[in-house]
Amino acid sequence: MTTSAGTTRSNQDIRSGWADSYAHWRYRLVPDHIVGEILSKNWIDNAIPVLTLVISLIAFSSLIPNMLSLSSVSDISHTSGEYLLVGLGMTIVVLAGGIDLSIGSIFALSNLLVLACGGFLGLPLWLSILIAIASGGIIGAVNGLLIGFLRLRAFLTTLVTMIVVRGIVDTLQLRYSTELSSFEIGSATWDFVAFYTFKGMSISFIVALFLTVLAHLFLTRLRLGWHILAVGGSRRAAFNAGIDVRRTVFITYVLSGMLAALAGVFYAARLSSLGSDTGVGLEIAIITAVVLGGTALGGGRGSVFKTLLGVIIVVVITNSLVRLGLRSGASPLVLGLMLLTAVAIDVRWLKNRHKAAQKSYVAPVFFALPAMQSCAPGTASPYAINTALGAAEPIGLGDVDAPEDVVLDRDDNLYCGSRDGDVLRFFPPDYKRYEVFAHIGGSVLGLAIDRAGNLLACVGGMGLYQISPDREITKLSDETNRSLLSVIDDSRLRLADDLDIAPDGKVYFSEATIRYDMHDWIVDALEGRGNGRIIRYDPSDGSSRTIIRNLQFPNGICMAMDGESFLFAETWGCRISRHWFAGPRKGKTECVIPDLPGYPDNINLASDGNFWCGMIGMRTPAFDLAQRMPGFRRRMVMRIARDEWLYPNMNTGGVIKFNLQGEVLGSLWDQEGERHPQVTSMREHKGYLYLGGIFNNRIGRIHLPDADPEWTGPTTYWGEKS
Amino acid sequence: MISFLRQARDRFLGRGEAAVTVPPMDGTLRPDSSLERAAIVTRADQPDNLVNYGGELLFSDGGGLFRMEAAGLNCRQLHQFEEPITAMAVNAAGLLAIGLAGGAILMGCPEQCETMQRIVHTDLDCPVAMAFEPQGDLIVCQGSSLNGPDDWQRDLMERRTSGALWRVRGADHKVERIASDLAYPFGVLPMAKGLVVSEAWRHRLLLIDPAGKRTILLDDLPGYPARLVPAGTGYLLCIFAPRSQLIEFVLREKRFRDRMLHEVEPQHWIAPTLTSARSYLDPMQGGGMITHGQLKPWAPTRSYGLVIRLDAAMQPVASYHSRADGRFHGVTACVEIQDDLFIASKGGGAVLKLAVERLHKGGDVA
Repeated sequence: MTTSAGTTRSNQDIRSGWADSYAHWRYRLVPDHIVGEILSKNWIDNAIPVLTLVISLIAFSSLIPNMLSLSSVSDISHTSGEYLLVGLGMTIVVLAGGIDLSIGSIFALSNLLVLACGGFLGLPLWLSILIAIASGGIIGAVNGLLIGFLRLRAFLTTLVTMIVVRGIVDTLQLRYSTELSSFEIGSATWDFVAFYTFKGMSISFIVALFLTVLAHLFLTRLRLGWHILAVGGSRRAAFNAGIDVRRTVFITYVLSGMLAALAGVFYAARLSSLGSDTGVGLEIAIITAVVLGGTALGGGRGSVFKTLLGVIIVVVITNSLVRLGLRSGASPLVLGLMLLTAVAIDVRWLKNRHKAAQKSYVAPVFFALPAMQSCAPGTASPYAINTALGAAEPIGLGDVDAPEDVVLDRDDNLYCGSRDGDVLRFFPPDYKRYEVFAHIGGSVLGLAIDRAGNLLACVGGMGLYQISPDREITKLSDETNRSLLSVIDDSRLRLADDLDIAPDGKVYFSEATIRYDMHDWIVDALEGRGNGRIIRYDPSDGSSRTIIRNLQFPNGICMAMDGESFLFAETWGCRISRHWFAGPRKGKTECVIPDLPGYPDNINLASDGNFWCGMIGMRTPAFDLAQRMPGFRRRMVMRIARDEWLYPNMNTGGVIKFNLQGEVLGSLWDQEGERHPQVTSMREHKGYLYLGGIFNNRIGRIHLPDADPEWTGPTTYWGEKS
Repeated sequence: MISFLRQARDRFLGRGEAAVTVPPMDGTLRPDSSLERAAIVTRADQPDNLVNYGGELLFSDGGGLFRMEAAGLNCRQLHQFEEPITAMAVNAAGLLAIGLAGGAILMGCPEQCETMQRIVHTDLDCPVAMAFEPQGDLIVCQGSSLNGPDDWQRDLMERRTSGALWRVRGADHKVERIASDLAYPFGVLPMAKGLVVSEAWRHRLLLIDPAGKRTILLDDLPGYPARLVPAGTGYLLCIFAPRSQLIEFVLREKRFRDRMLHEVEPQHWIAPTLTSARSYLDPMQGGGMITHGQLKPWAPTRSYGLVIRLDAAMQPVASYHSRADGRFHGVTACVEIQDDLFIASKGGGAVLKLAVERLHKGGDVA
């Protein structure tokens, strides 16, 4: 700081103070991180259709009186039922990467056939309906043969069938117009189908809803459904995967034809009319509904529920336009505009959603650290930077990659994790030989040895694991209770970091952040929010519960050896706190060291009853300032490349020793940063201190001349071997 | 109004002026480690201002003026000035001009520093580069009228364009300003067409003709250019610090810069520096993290060592680098004497010597 105490505050200081208070409240009150979290959810694809529906409902119900009355809804539900049936078929075709323009004509043909068969020809009703549906299936099969097997263009082929079928319908209608109009289907069932409503829902709508559920199960749970999505997603990949692409495409058109025909039957029941414009323009309405719902025209992405949504929007809007008394022609115009918008949104959304989610995911908040303690070399400060660790003797140099934590057992074996997902064991006395003790499969970030001699490990991306002395790996915990208001699913453990075991066998472990995965952990530094938590695993029933939330990258955990509390370090918060899990102060948390000059990592016991804490990096004035300016960090993340982002200085690290009163007793550093630029963990064992580092290719070992040469961690925790 | 809206949109979307782009070191600027492999002629604290004085090398180190005997083995101090030497130039007749941090300009013979003529002008207080014109006038680059030579980082971070070009004319040393509003002119070279100035904060070489018309000769340099000297039929251009995305970004963040300048010590600013020496208080960027005991050569860095060889048309034909993991950063001056290229790494504290390949001498490598 260039301004010293005692001088009057300059304008700049006052401005900065105001800016800080503003940022403090602004970022406290507005939860920016939710935007990115919502954008990375799968259901966000439905946001625009739902919004459109809500807006159009509000708009039209304010324009049209009684729009949401029962009779009006039932009116809508008739049309919706028919549209939805056609829409289901169209969705299936579009999901497989095709398009079906012939549905309007099939719809009209089916209408004609059912009326002709049931009325004029006097066939039984069920047979008439079957004939109508079969006609749709046959035309669909023609489409499917041409497009699927002969591989003609879907658009042109179905355009042609649309015209041909329409021609047939018109010819038949003209030829038999008098016969057709003189007969009526007189059947109670027919009337029931036509006019019965259940809570405002027509039979056609109920059937369509039922079929929607079936279609959803078909597409998401059955082999053929998966094949359809696979073909739409990538035809070539589907072919290479052994899917019969031609057959799959064929089937989609048959289904589409049959569903359109079924809709035609319901139409016939409802109106019993043979207007020449039956089903004209239906394909446009249906395509609009499908695309508006969010099914991609390119295929492979969408669902029938999206179509349900789209159909309701289209019907509500067209219906409302009619009731508003707009001139004929306005309705197709609006529909066309909607289709255009929907297609444009579909394309842009698909292209940019992922990018937007990525860019807006990092959501920094205001965070002011207390004034920095001096660690100037050569001063009396307990933090004074020195070169003590520069002399550390390397273990496993070049053989280990990312030994975040190290631990030693009663027999002096040294264990460490690695980036490859192994736990390595180095053998005493010189630790030159090693073996892969166990392969876990994730980055091992925390290690501890329990009473029975099992190795417990926090594994990034996986959770809490146990490795028995005979190398049997058991998963202890990979989830905890879900919090009520969290957008992202925080029940899964994303980044279990360090652990310690209480005398009663309960395991307390930290999850550094719930917003970032193992490979991104350091990005969490840019947020400054409490994204982490501490979880208790209870071995008696195998359950896990979150006990402290909203911590700033909780990292090291170490029992305070009083049987009722533990110490934990918050890396980005630069502080060490103590939490009581038993005894009179149960549930309380108290800060022990609030103002570390660096970023603390693991905490472990020292032989003299004090504690060691690793420092992964140092606070820098520039980053501390950036922590107070969240907007700066957010723009930085958006504007510049990842490797260029500003972080805490992780090229100087070390170890401090402190006691429960928060007094720092001394520190060991690697000022040059050549051997141990970041120290993520350290263990004292028989007069030596072993050092781990998450970006390092070695374990370090230095002799501690003043330490008890017989002291070991397992003996102190669990007593002499029985 | 429209330009205001456009600026607002650019700021929001990170386009146009707000876009953070840094030209890549590519083509002829492809990084190598020439400077790391160069011979160290001498170690000094902050060597600078190399000039060819009749076939011998003169250089400054703080306030000290040094002379390197021909073989480059014997280094002799000629004089110790009270203020740091910030610029030097020699003319064909053997007249040496020295610019001091306080603003004085001395002219005379290097062997008799006590008797040099002293020229002082109140508006010419930050001489950072000098060169003699063929007809004998001295051209002086005033880096900034608001910040002294040591405060160049502040000048950049304040986005100043207060530099100027001065001419010291004739025997009576009449001082006149030729050009102003330059963004830290840190090198000048008189040519037949006019004066070529390396305008550091705008990362470009500018030709200012006698009528005052400005033409850009070389633009979009990946670093901040310093001294420009003739070499063979071409030229040598020192780049004293690299541009980086983070610094370019900070230069577009006014509020952050204001507070950084006010609250943080200058050596720990997010700003270019001369030296590669690292402190635990320095800002660190993601790619600059030591992994497996190594700092990657391609790490984002605030300091760099680079000399660019230009052809007669001022286009780069070769380059000599000291990368992020190197030692010889902050090259502010260089000079070619016969077949040796001497380079002052002010940040690395050394004068280096490169044997010049004949290939590059003419500036014609094709």
